[in-house]
Amino acid sequence: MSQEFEDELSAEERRALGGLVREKMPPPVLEERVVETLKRAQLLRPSGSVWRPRAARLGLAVAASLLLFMLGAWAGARWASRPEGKPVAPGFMLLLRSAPEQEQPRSSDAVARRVAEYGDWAGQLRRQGLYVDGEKLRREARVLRGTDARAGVSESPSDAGADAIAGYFLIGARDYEHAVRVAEGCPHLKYGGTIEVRQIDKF
Amino acid sequence: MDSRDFINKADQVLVERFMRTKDEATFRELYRRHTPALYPLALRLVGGSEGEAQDAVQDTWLRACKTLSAFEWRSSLRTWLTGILINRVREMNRGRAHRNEEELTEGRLEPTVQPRGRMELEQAIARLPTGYRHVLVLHDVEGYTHEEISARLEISVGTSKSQLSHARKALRGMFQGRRGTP
Repeated sequence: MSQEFEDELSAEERRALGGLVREKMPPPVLEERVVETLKRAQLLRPSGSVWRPRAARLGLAVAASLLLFMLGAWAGARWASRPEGKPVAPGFMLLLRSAPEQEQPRSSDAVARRVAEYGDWAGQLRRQGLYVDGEKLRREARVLRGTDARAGVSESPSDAGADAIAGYFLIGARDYEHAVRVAEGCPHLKYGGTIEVRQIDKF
Repeated sequence: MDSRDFINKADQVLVERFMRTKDEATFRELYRRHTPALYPLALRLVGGSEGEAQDAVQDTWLRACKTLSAFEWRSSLRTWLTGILINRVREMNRGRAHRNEEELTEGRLEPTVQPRGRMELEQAIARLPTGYRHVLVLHDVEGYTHEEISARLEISVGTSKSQLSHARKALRGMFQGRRGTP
């Protein structure tokens, strides 16, 4: 800095400026305003709905119609004659279960760390070509049960008091042994969760 | 891996998920992680107007979501968002006609009472001319270097230093105005 601008802050001034609030949450109404703005701009989809890019929607509608027509024929042919093509790598679902107290870390830093940890693990699987998909699931649920008359719907998991499904990963693996070895590396286990490995039953 | 790496990694996980799903809950998570830092900066840059600060934060998120796919993680998400915010505030200032900053010089700023706390200091910063205020907030509060300010505000490093010097003098002038009075 040249002599002209040499007017360094005193220790007291530095303390005063350094003591200003660096983080402050704005009124909650702003969050709602931002979310609504993004929805209007079609940059955001509401939770619980399926997002489709704007350009894809029309094509999707047309494709869905065609699919309805084609599905019957396809399904009939498939049941009648199983194709003998190249074997498809088996898919495995890792169902991550945890008790409510295990699901949410107490601090936001801890949440960030856990998200990063699960993300790292998923990244490793991706690099190995094993990762297909994965999501965390909210604990709230709608459970439908078939009865003689009509389906009954309840608003919590059937096993509300026990370990509920907290998320899933869909992976590719050679066999159960391989899938279990992959699952053993998941950070979910060290947080006291359980992982159920289920092979996808392709027909 | 230090805490910043964790935070960046967590941001990457969230952004990746958001890009894939456009999910509202994921966006809210990102919003709540970064808005508490963006909002006070916006408040200071606009000179204390909550309405303008909220507009700036809203526009920041709107622009961020529109251009997120082009973000290459050469900086942290927080730094990127802050850059968008600063640009937005500068645009808002350009559009604001007849701002009286040209009339305000360090010698003509009205003295105020001795600072008794953060509130007085915030008010004094808010009363600074826009150019002075931006440089002072970025340098003395946010910790930017003159080179970074030069790039962000599209001014020369010399101008940044000069503005900071004037800003500090103006600020001192406000607090020294009544020094010695009971």
